[in-house]
Order: sequence, then structure tokens, then C-alpha cells
Amino acid sequence: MSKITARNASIYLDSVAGACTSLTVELNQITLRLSNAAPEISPFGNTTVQRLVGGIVDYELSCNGYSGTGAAELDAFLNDLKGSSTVWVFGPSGSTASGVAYSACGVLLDYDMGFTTNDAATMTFRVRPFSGSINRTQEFLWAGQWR
Amino acid sequence: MSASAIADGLITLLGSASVFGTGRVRKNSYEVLETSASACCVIQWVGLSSDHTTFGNPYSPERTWDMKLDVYVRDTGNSQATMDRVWTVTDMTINSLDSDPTIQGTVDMIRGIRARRDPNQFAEIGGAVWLPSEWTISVVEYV
Repeated sequence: MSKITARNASIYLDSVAGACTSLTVELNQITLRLSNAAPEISPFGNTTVQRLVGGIVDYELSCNGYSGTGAAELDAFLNDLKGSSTVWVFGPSGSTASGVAYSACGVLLDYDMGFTTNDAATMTFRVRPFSGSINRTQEFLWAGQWR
Repeated sequence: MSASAIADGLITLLGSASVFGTGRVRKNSYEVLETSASACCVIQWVGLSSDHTTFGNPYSPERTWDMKLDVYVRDTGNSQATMDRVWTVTDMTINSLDSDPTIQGTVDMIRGIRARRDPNQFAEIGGAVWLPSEWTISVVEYV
């Protein structure tokens, strides 16, 4: 059994202008949830639920990080991305050429800003599918390379 | 920033800019106790935690420094005047720290201030009697 270090994870999103942008150093949590629809197709008479395989795939990429307000930081980046699609690449073990990468074309679903005294301002956002499919590759491809 | 820079910020904030006056806050020597006529302060760092708070290489750490201020009020020989000075120095110190939570721009924020004083404790240093109090300031910097 082996483990990988979570802190090596990296993530890139295309900006509204199409520039592949690393958000890695601004984030502290990345969650990629993949799911597929498995509709129930139990015929009459079955005593156990039967499901269809090969259903529609869905995903949700959710990220937590810090709310930098600089021109190239998270706050401005996400604000500009409202209403636009984006291409994202997530590397669970970093962005080395031989690393695994997940990538897709998505749309920014929402983002939240959080402020509490005595802590850094935080920001969370979610990306859901826009078009195409989600890909898993055995080499890390920058957003511009696979698109 | 660095521990030294934060200490320098405190020296300016509490020294030349307000409570103690120029030269009365030190980070490198206790000899100020031999030259100060009223109150003085010596700064030490006593704690550091640097935490991985983001992904990336290099990552962006969050550093928390605990800076200790040893505040001394000199016994004037007049009990009431000395006690009054303790109250005054205490008020001025906390007000000064509250007035600039970035400590001259050296940190992102002061996260907490704790102080304690034993009213039965006195220190005889440099031929004078001092009433000491201990202040610990936790400061945070996002690197």
C-alpha cells in the first residue's frame, strides 16, 4: 500500500481570458467528487434492486482557499469567471509530467467569501460540468495542451 | 518579515512613537534597566509556529510568533507615584498595541495579547527596584 502527500496537489483553471492560471498556492482544500447516474431498472418480481451501468457521469470540483484581493488573486479571478466556462486541470500528486491529471470543461457554480476575526479571509468555490467529459490521464497536461 | 523585524516594529510602536520613549524598548539588551528613570521594556520571542496552510511549492505558510515583553516600572521612592505609574504604563501599553494591530506593518495582525503581573513581585536590578509585568503578544503573518 502506498500513500501520496495531499499537499502536493495542484490545480489550474483557465481565466475568463483563457489564460491557464495556477490557483494552487491560494488553496488549502480540493475535493473532486465524481458520480455516475445508476438508474433503477428493477423489473417486477425482483427481490433486490437492479441498476443500469454506464449512466451519465457528473462531477463537482470544490475548493477552499484564501481570499486574496490582488489583481491576479482568487477574488478577482472568480469574479471575472462568473457566467463563463473554464477549463480546469487537477493533479492529485502535483504537476509533474508523469503525474495523474483530471481535467474537464466546467462552469463556476458559486463562490463564497468568509470573514472571521483572528483568521485569514477565506474563499470557497464549486465548478460543475459545462461541456464534454471529465478526463483522467496518466500524464499531467496543461489546460491548453488537451483542450 | 522576520522576528527581528517584528521586534523592531514593537520598538518603534512602544518606544519612540508612544509609551516608553526613544531608547526605552530594547530587543538585544537588559542594560536599559540601568539607564531608564521611569519605565522600560525588553522584547524576546518565545514561541513560533509555522503551518502549511496552502498547497504549492513553495507554499504560503502562516506563521504565528509569540513575542514576550518584559515591562518594568521603576520604583520612584514614592509608593503612590510608583503605583500610579504602573496603571498608566499598563493603559498606555495596551492602547498603543491596539492602535496598530499590524505593528508598523511588520505582521498581518495581532491575534491576541495576554499580560500578567504579580503585585508582590519586585526586582532589584541596576541599583533600582522595578515592578515587572509580562506581556505575551501573538502575532500572525501570512507569508
